[in-house]
This record gives sequence, structure tokens and C-alpha cells, in this order.
Amino acid sequence: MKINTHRDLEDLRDKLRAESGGWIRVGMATCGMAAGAEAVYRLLCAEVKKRNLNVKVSRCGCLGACYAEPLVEVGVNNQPAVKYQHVDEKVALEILEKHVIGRSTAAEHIFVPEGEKTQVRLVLRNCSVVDPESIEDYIAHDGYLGLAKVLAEYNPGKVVDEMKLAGLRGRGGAGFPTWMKWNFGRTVQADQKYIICNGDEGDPGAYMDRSVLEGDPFSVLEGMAIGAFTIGATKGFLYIRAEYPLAVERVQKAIDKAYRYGFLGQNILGSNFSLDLEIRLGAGAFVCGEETALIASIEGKRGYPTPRPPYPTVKGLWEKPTVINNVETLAAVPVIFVKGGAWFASIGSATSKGTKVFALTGKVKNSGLVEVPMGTTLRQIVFEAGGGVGGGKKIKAVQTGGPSGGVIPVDYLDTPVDYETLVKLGSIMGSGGMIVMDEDDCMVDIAKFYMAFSVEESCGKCAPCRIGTFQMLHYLEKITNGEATMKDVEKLEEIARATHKASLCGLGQTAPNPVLSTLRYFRNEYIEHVQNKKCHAGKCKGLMVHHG
Amino acid sequence: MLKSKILIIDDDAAFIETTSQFLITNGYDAISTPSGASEFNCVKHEAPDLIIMDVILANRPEGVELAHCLCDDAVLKDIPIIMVASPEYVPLAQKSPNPCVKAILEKTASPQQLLQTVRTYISRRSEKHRAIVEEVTKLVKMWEGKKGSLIMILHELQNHYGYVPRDVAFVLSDILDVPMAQIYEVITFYNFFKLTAPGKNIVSLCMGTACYLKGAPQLLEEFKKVLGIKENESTKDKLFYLQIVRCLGCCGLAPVVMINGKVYGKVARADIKTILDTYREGQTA
Repeated sequence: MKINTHRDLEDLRDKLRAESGGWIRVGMATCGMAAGAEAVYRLLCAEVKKRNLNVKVSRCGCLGACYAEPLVEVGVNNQPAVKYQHVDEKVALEILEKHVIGRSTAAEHIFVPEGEKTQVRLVLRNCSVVDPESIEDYIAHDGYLGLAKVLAEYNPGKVVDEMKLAGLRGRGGAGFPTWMKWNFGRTVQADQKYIICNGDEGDPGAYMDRSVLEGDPFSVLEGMAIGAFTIGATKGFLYIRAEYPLAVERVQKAIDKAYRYGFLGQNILGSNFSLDLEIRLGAGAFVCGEETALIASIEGKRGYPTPRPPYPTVKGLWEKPTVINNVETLAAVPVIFVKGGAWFASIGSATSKGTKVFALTGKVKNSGLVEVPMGTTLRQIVFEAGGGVGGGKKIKAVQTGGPSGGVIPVDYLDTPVDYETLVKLGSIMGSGGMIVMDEDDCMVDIAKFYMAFSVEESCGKCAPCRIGTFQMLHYLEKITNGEATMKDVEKLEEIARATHKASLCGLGQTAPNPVLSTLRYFRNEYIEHVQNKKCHAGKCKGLMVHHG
Repeated sequence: MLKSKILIIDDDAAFIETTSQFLITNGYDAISTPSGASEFNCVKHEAPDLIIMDVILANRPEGVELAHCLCDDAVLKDIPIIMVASPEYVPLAQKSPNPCVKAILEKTASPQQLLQTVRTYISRRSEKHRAIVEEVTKLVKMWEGKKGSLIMILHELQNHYGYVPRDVAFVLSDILDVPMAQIYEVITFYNFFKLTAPGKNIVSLCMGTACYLKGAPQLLEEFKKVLGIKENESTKDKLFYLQIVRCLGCCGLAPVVMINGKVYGKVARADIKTILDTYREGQTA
């Protein structure tokens, strides 16, 4: 079953494509499962078998529209595919009878996605299409063509050039150019190098990495293989949160299948390149998203960060050069080599190329995953892709970057989103959590929520972060309890700046962001809490609700 | 082989002296609590294989109370206790049954009878120990010779036992030749690992940002009220364990609660009792 050449792969792809007839796909990522997709999938499988219908029922990853789950898509009789929303077992039967057998549609359940045209599905291209447990399905959708092309036509230097042309930057949050990281890894000399996929998605409110791992694990493996070839790594790890059991299961299956076809192991696709991949589980520590802490964790130790330099590309896992890329970054790599770096660079803004997936949640009408070109404005994301704010309320702010990010008030909604613009506004891109807040949300309370998270997750190694976050939380509690003076607000700001400057790693350096950004844009709310002892949104229990 | 360690807790110096000499002669390692020290801390520190304890102690707490304290401790409850008492105090000990107290003997019982009882519970304990060694060896096997596998092994153990029991960690320390301190250092760093057995049904309340905004804190209050416990605690009947998780990644369904593997979306405060009750009925059925 091993595939040895680029040509073999294309032949197999064409053969698999020719075989496929009618199909029904059920969205079965965690969000779909939570809404009851499993029962629908089982029922459809059983009924199709019982009635001897000539359609293939398969699972697929996240369709991105969590608010409409469970989602089912039907493509039969050479007609355009149709998506159905809120499908339970009864609706599933109706779809079978009216659409698959009756050749019309179950019209009242059709899902009309809002704001599709704002979106460009590049990282999520396979997520609603390919069966995540079928490597054949992945191959039929041009899977592994990128790797085959790289192994046949490229040398590592040329891969770096193509990545530079593409301009892909790290999607984990900091936006470091991927080509540069790979080039550091490539040029350093060592007897052993490693590649690591960072799947320790820690921002509470971001789940695109989970969706990609659950919905399209093969793209991540293919991206890792291209990266490993470039830097000269023969061994790699996928570090995945233990809280994502479905992702772990699907990635493990994908690894096993990739070995069977010869996309992993010795002499991949008949070349001299060999790579072994293994999963390592996280164990619930936010700090392990930080590269040096993640490395310590893979080594089986406490996830303590270490000062940089030396950078992991010089001295990483077991002291060997190591390149760490985020899930979303790696999933974007294969398509760059199928369609070309120039094509990738044609999408996005001047400094940030390609697309970004956001987990659009909170007080938004249609929460779910949206993928938009870099440079799309916040307004387009919230109002076009997300359908605006529900419940007749007014939008107050958008939070990006989770506990390391900040809030962006409504006046700045027309800002095109990329790494630089968000930093300028006092927030960060982060891993892509985007939380919409309305007039019922108190900004001091939000800052307190994130600070409580950082206190809990601070690893305790360096004092500025350990003590700074604790003190900031103390002042925030004083403020929300109505016991603070304006002097305390000053202190809070002072500690925030000190913690930012003095902390050892990214966690501590960015932990003050929620405080600093709410102080920057919503200082009046702080003042109202302190001087009038009032909480406008009515969130802070220690205070009176402000009426009128 | 290492000698089994027996701790004698008594305020009668003559009893301690004769009993420990007798046990040592019979191949055991016998120790007693130094005077003035806290018996409870001594047990914790020495981690004996068995305890012989007087019902009446000069300093409070009394033996019966101390036995209850030990039994309530998640770690120390596995140590078997043999109570000894003057005949008139035997009823006192019997009045307050305790699963850790395996036998109650009169102080006047013959040394042979004491030895017999000691042997019985020590050998039960070593059988249990042998079973653990066997199990842990099996679970660790696939990670043999692999670098940095401690966290993955702890995942295996927690999957198997539901938590990482202390005696299992001791065995692991022997097998891997890794100091116990290093194992505990890792366990206590990561939120995912538990040191005590959780209740049968694990209730995970999502406290991600979206869930927080949509009312998760109010749900937490309700869960605490209905279950009568705080987070990271189990109910007295061991039916439920309540924990807060960072993000279940179902933000579209916020607020979200997961019980065992099942996810409940858009949960309202009023739903909680009904949801929990389905797990209660399952228990009685």
C-alpha cells in the first residue's frame, strides 16, 4: 500500500475521485457531537444500509457554524450540495426521504449560512469536506500533493524561499515569520533535530486548533513533514491538550494511517527523507503554550519556562535544535505548496498574509469559527460573518487574544485586523479567540476574570508574574467590591506595567494586557466603580446597579 | 526484602517496649511515636504498613478519634489499624466502627494472638501491593526506554485508576527509579492530575470566557448549592465530583457543562437539578 512517487499519488487520487458517488456528511467535531450529531450519523448509516441506497455517509469536521449544529450536508444525483441545520433524528429521516430518495429537498431545514462571502476557507478548507478518519478521502482532495511536490522538486533552501514568498506568520499569537524560524532550524548544525506541533490551545475561548486537529489532522501531519524536511528533523511530537480526547484519537488514527501509506516512517514517498511522529499529552497548564515550558513538559518535567536565548531553534528539546509551530500554521503549509507562495501572499494585508481563523463567541448572534483574510475589519467579522449582536443589545467591545490580549472598543471596529494593528490598539492577535461583549458586560469584571485566570495559571517560577498577577487581582477585587480609592487604581496600573516589563516569559509579560487595555478605553468604568460605587452593567455584586 | 513497618501508638511505655521487641524478634520493623509529637503527623511521615493503637491515649485526641481522622484522610485511610484496649474500654472502641480498624484486641490477649492478627493484615496488604506492582508494570511497559515519558505514564495511571493513588505512585517510583519527590512535583504542577479518588460522575463546568459571559458563575453557585460541595470536591455519597474546566471548545453552546463524556449546552440554572437527577436514577436502577 506504500506510495513511492508523486505520480503514484496522483493516480491514486484520480482513482479515488472517480469512485465517489452521492454522499451525506455529518459534522462531527466536539461541537457537533455536543449537539447530538452522533445519533444522527448512526441513524443515517443504518437507514442507508437498510434501504440499500447508493450514497456514502461520512463524518466530517467542523463546518464552522456552531450555532446551527448538528449540520448535515447532502450531495447526490449530481446536484449542488445542500446543507441542513439543527438536524435531529426526525429531520434526518425527512432528508433521506425528500432529498436522497425523493430528489427534492427538505426545504424548511435548509441552512443558509450568513456572511459566507466574508470568509475564505483556507486552513479550514478540508474541515467540512474530508472525513477526518479516512486518509483516502484526504488524498482524493489533493492531500499529500504538497509534500510529494516538495520531496520531488525542492531542497530545504528552496522551501524556505517559497515560505518567505508566502509570508506565512506563526498563528500561535506572536506572528513570527515561519520561514525565518525554519531557516534558523535549517542552518544550525546538529546530529538530531526535532519538530513540534503546539496543540496546547490554552486561551479559554479559542478552539480553532481543536477543530483543525479533529477535522483535518492529515493537513497538520503533512505540514509537519514539510517543516521537518526543511530543517532536517527526523523526529517530531504533537503536543495536544488532554482535554481534547477526540482530537487525540483522530490524530493518532491519522498517524497510523500515514505510516501505512508511507507518508511517515523511513524513506517517505521513496525519498531519503524519514520522519517519526508521536503524540504527547498536555495536562492542563496554560504556561505550556510557551515554547520553552512546552519543551520541559514533553521532557516529562514541570512546565517551567526558561530564559531565552538560547532559543529552541538552537537549544530545544533535550538540548537539540527544535522548531515549534502552531496547529493552524502547520495546516496552512500544504496548500502553499499546492497553489504556490505567491498565491498565498495575494490574500491578506500588507504585513500579514493569508487568512486567520477566529473563534467568534460571546454576545454574537452566530457564534462559531470564522476564517477571514487578514485585513478584514472587526466590523465585517462581527456583523457580516457573525450576524451582529443578538437580543437587541448594543455592542460595547471586542476582546481578542484571551488572557494575554485586550479589549477593543466599538469606536475601532473599522480597524483591519492583522498582527500590527491589534498591537497598536493595545491587544494582540493571540491564537484567535474573539469575544463580543455588549452593554451588559462590565469591563472591570472582565479584567478580573482574566486576571483570576492568570493568577491560577502563573507557574510561580518568577516573582514579577507570581506576585504581580496576585496583587493586580487583589486591587481588581477591591474595586469590584466597592472598597477601593483612586490611589488603588494608580497602584493597579503601576503593578501592571512592572509585571509586563519584568516577567520571565510571555505569560507574565502579557497578563497585564486585559487590565491595561480596559484602563485605556474604559477608565470611566473604573472611576464609576471607585467614586460612585456603581457598576453600570450590574455585574459586580458588591455594588449598586446604576439605573438610568 | 524490606521489612514491614509497624507503628505502635500508645502512652504505656512498658507495652511499647515489650510489643516492639516481640515484633522485631518476629521479623518486623517496629517503631513508636516519640513523646510529645503529633500522632497524626507521625503516621503521615512514617507511612507504616500497619498501626497498633491504644483506645485511650493520654493526650487528646483519643485513639478512637485519631482512627477516624486517619480514615478520613485520602492517603492514610489505606493503612490497617489494630486497636488494643483494656477489657473495660473494648466496648468504647466497638461503639464507633471504622473501616480502617480491622481488629479490636484486649490488651491481655496473648502475644501469639496479636502476631496472628498482624500477619493477616500485613499479608493482605502485601498481596494488594503485589497486585499494584503487577498492574503498574503492565501499564508502564509501552513507555519502557522512552525518554521523558513520566507525564504520559501518569496519564495511563490516571486513566486506569481515575486518579494517581499514593501507593501506586510509590510503586511507580520503584519501577522507574525516579524519586517520589520528582513524581509528586509533576503531579502537583498539572491541573489534570488528581491525587484523590473523584466521585463516580465527573461534573465539569466550563469557565471559558464565552461561558463566563453567559452565566457560568451562576451555574457554579447552583451546582454548589444542589450538590453541597465546592469545586474539586466529591459529594459524601461519592456520586458526583465537581470541577471547573478552562474551555471545552463548545463556545457556540455556552454555557456548557460536561458530565462524564456528555456535553450539555445552553444550560440554565433551573435545568441543573433535573440533569443531575438523571445520574441519580441511573444509580438506583
